[in-house]
Amino acid sequence: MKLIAVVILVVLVSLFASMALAMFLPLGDVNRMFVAGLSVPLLIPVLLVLLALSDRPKWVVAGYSGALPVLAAAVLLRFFAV
Amino acid sequence: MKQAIHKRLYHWHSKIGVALALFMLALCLTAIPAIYLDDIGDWLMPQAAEQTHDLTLDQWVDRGAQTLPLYKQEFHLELNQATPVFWLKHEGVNTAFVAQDNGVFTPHSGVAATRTLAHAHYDFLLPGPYGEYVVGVIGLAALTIMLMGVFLHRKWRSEATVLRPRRSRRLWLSDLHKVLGLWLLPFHLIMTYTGAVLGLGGLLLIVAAYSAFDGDKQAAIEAIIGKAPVLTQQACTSHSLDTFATKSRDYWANLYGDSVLLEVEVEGLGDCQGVATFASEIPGYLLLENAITFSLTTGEIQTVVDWVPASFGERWYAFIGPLHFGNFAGYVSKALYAVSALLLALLCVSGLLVWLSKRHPSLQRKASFVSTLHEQLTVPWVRALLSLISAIALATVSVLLCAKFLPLLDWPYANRYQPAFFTWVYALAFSSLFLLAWWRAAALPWSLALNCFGFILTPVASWIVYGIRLDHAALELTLLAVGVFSGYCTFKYYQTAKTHHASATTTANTVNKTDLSNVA
Repeated sequence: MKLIAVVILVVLVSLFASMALAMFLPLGDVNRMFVAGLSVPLLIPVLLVLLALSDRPKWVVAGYSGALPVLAAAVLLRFFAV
Repeated sequence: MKQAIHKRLYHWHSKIGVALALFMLALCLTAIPAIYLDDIGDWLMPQAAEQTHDLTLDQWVDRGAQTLPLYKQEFHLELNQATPVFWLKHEGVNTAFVAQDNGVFTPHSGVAATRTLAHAHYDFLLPGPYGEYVVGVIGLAALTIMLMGVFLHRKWRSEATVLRPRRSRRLWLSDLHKVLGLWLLPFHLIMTYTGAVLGLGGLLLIVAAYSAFDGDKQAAIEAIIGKAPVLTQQACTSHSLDTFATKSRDYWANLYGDSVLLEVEVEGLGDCQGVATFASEIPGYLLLENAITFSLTTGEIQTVVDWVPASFGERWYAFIGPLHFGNFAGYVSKALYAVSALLLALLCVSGLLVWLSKRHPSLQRKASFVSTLHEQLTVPWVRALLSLISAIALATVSVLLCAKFLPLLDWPYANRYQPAFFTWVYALAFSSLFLLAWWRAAALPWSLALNCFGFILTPVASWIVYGIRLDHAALELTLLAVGVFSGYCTFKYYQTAKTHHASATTTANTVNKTDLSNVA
């Protein structure tokens, strides 16, 4: 159960992070599309390994609770603004 | 690194690795025929290769018109192998045709067979896009455990050069796992990342479309390859395809000096809105092929896809396919990729055996794997491992055997049923043998003997029926070598069975004697 929750959270953070990265970098439409799509399969394993390397659960919880809303808000604001 | 973190990393590395091991092994083994797919196609269709060697594009179209009444709707021509394949799309279904001895186009079992072998690697023959997603997820998980391995083995300088075969088997397997993992790390990282991108491409496109085109997937695709033509069904005279081929060659020659035409795709030949796309490889660039789309009626260029001066993101994407398929340097890169795939398979096997040896004392002994095979076959994981290898080999050779000799039967429904036929041959051969050998260890030598028979029969029957050809010698000798190796494994199995049986009888006799003396 815990593993499934961790995987879902990591996938969500990776999706929002890659989209935010692509949206806020000064890139053209086609370039942005590729950067967003191709960075997801890199971010998911990197985040999972970073989680496994972290020995402070509080930091992990703080990371999720900070990163998820901020990245989601950034992506959605940009998405609806355009 | 703190001990708790190291322990946690090791725990997840081994858990995910064990869960993945059989799938990764299947991917590595199915990758080898997939790497040599062009050569297998040429071996299966030698007459077709000779017939179509010097045809111009317009002659291809004329020949197609003679035998394929529906050819005008949509077709494409693959020229990047010795046997050019003529793909006809009708009612959403692609059918492959190749030219036969009499000059007419017929569906050929070779094309359907090679596609089955390719599908076995990139979607495990599962329906729809789900198989690709499964393979993509396996790629992601493999990438994760490889990254974990990097942090686990931080003393890489010493671990990459230590192999201790004289110590316990577990230690030796562990050393082998580390040496293979560390030396081949860059290759494996590239393969797993590119494999994950190719497998999950359909899902990643959604992310890509939301980040740039408001979620419009069609707009995202059109931004790369241009708009699909809307056919008017009004007849117009089409320009010669050979003229377009020359124009395409000149266009790339002006920019990069050279190009190789790989594929021609025509939509609506004879229609006023018809287009022809010419895909060409630019030598010296490890990128997807560039493409030019021409209007068939006006002859003007409609779209140009050029990956060379493209932006960072586009080149990143264009880099992935050629890097994963590994045919950029001909037989040298193909051989390197095949050897690396075999070593990755060995990495999976050694990792799994290290994990198993903790749980089964019989796997920890110093004696060789072969001499204690019968003890080890009592472990279900070992049976699964060996039966998987044997089943994939048998399924592959069954498809090759059927595809090579099916044309002799002149099957009237070949056009419609061949793709499904080969899928079923592969699926049935694999699943029946895998389940049988996994369930009963006694079935394993039978499966090995079947492999021996299949791998020797295929080239020998080909020599008898079609004659010996030097250009196919490499493939046929490889098949023969695998057959001989399977035969050797079968022989060793029975040899160790005899020793095992004799030692078991001696032990039983000793026990009986001891019991009797105790009673006396």
